[in-house]
Amino acid sequence: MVERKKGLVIAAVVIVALALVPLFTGREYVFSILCMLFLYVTLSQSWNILGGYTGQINVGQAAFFGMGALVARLLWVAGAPFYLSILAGGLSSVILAIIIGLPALKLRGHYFAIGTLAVATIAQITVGNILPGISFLPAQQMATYSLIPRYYVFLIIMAAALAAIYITVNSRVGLGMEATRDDEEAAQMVGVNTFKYKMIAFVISSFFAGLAGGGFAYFNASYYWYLPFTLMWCFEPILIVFIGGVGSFLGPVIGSVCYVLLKELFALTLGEANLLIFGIVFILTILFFPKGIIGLPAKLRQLFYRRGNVVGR
Amino acid sequence: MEFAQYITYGVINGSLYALVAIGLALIMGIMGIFNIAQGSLAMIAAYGSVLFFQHMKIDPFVSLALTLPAMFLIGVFMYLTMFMSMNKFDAGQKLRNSMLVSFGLVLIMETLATILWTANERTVTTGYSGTVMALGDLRIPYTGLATIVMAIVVIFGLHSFLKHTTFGKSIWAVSQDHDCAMLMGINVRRTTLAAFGIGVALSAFAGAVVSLHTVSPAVGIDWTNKALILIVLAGVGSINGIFFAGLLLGIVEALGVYLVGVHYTGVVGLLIFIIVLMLRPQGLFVRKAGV
Amino acid sequence: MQSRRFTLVMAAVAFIFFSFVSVAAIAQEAPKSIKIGASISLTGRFAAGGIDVADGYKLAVKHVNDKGGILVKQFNKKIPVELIIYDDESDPSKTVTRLEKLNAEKVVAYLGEFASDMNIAGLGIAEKNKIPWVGVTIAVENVFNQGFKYIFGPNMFSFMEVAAFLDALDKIPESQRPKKIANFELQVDWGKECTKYLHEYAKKRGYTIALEKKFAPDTKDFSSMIMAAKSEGCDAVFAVPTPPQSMALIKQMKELDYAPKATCFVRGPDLSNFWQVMGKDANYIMTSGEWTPDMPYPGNKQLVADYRKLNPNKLMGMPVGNGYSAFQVLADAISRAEKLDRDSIRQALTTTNIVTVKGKVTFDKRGVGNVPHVLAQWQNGELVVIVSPDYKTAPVLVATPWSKRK
Repeated sequence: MVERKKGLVIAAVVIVALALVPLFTGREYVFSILCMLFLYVTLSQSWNILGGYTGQINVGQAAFFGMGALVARLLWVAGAPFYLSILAGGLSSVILAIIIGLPALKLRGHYFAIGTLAVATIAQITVGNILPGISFLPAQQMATYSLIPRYYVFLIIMAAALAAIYITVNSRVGLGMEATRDDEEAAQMVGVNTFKYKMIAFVISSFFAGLAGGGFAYFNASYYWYLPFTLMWCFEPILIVFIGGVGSFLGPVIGSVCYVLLKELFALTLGEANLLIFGIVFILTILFFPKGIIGLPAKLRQLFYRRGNVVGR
Repeated sequence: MEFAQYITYGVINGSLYALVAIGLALIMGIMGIFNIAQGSLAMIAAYGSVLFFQHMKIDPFVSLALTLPAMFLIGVFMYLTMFMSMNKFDAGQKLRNSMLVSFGLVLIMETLATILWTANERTVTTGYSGTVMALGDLRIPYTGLATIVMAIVVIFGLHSFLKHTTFGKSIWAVSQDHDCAMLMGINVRRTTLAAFGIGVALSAFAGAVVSLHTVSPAVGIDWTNKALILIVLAGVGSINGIFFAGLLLGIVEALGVYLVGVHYTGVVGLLIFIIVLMLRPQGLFVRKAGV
Repeated sequence: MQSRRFTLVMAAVAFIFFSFVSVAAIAQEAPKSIKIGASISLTGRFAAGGIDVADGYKLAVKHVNDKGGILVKQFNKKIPVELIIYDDESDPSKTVTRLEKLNAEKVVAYLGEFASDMNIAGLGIAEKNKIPWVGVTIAVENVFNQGFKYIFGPNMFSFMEVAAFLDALDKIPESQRPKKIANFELQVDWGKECTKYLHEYAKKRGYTIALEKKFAPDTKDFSSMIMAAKSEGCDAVFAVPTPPQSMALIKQMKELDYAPKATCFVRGPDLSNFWQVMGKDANYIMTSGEWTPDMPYPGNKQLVADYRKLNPNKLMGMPVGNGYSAFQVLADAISRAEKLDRDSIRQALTTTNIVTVKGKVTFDKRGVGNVPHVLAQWQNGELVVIVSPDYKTAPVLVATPWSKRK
């Protein structure tokens, strides 16, 4: 209990500190990097509630991210206020999730995974064919573009996602989700409505993925309509969550920080070979931290414990 | 007779998909290692075929004699350095960690290929490229015919190997029950090592055909996606089924042109796949867990 | 007495101090280098063109710096150029953050990159950051109809490519000239724009679009399109396929025995290694000719010689020359700018009028470049210019049936 209270206080302090960043620097580069970081934290945590806590590996998150971006952008460019557009994006993703989830959540394990991947691929091809062009910002929005409101939008979305998911996993619903993950058949036998919990997780997951997509639509000045549907948006959250530590609350946060910042650092300093070195670092991380980076403190304790033993002799 | 022509190309493309998928079917279905890099391995093998053709004028079907052992050695290296340590994990963690590690490999292979060979598109155009066997109005390209034949030989050959040879049966035994196999005197370490090597070596066949189409460093993930679809269509663990699943996907995509434009045939294939998944998720060619 | 003297001394010190400060403020120091930034795909799907564009930029910068740099009006001295290139891994989201970083590093201008996906994201950032952006291959005209002020595209656009294609057809003697065009429309904005102009120009110039089929970037089987074009009797084909698709299309056309008199794939066959990988099946294929190593414009010989010295084992790709030319345009604008700042450079760009390694470049009010309409054709192993407004070109070769080719 004390641990949790401590954790909450730290989290609150961090969020407040992040909110104050614009007071200390005007450098747009810092904002754009942090916006991307917040986006990835939101997207990967949204994946985590379905994949890590409920055990349903969704390889089609791009469909929900893209849906949110598409609806938000259409509404915003047509004149609706940005916050309503982003919210509408989130809700449209939820509707999509319910439509897909009703049949799809009957699939188990890797069948659900490949099924969602197929759905996301269909979405990408279809959007690319129907909207093969570019979404531009109208001149007025272009002239008044500032990164600061976007920074706060992403910060608020991330805080909301983290709060909502934290509350969910620590509630009875969270217990139902974890029971579904650990052994779906056994859970069903004791009367747990696993389908209900899977759907709840799916809805929460898609809502925040859609909000993140809405943020993306608000953030980008000009982009190809199909961009938020590309499959990298499916794979990256999964990698981030696993690297950080799947099924843990901080896993996606740690993973996002490492993934986004490390990749940026390498790209800026290593030139042509940056992805090569990143790939090597990535592999070494997994080989040495098979449970994710969140296992780092435990591993260090292990090392020190052993060392202490030897010295003590 | 355009219908027959479409079916022909569907069968050819399906055979190519099956050749990419067969290595992954062995590695994933039999060994429980989720190797996302299988498509990238086919890409590396394809570059091998391209370079042998460009510098030494060796036909891709002939240079298989060189790319097969090369890919086998790469597979052995990969297993010893990265995947062997995962044997102590349970099935779920093994799948998960092997997926992550192989994703890192995708990045590494793609970047290495770009640095070594530039990112320009490559293809192999032999003297007989474009020549066809004409059956009336129907034109069957010889390269396509070779693809189909090779897919049949490799896939059904692998199935026979696993079912009827001693070594093949030991691979099968190890995948079914690790400890039991050890008690029966099977050298488990050597067997899994060789099995993984074979799984990677199988990508050389796909590489040879891909080199006759086009190859560039970034195509790995696309081929892996197709392979994953085939594995689920056929049923995890099925080997023969991979060929038929490939045919099904290829033909559905080809005939999709009657329903929608060429730009939506990919969607048609995926929709049929989803329908099969909903109706018969265990796969079309698997009665229960078995080859 | 003493306090007054003290006050006088203080006043004198203050006066001297403030004089120094104000003189220092007025006499602004010339910067050590002119910083120019680019986010380019050095890795990932679009690395081929990306690396070539980067090479073109680097050579152009080297040539300028070898002469001491660009003569900047504001300081009346030559200042060397510092080109900062970051890899965006063929990911438009990363293009955005890289360009923001370059903005933080106070670059005075951006240079574009090879692939549209990234360029589109990049020019949006340029416009919002009010930094002039000089593109290298941005063929979509629609981008320049958005009222943006900071973007410039010194290259061929969709409507020029279509016009050049019809110019090439015009050059074929009447008796052999193809009349029925098959348009294979790639489902991207560039493809759709080309379709629009094909319809607009073809009728006026005496050609018909006899067949139109759509395909997507993931299409691998073109049999239905090719068979339809063949049965419709189309003797010319136009498309803007991706590089792998251009190779697959030609191979399938051979398999299905379809050899229209004129085939123009604007993208794909413009790869320097196209003949090397396709062999004589590439013969007669028309493609973009925006820049070739043999063009007779000033500076080209030096560019080609230096590139080949640096890359003895590499064929010289079109994006190298295009990149070099784009930098020439930017450097020229910087030398004419009243001040070394972003808005002055932007202003200078609008009045561009120079001859680069690919010909004369000017801009219209929107930033769309007026560059020579050029088309090239693979003829017996060489990529030969067949349409040019500036010099006499080789004749256009009409494709022979597959069976008749040796």
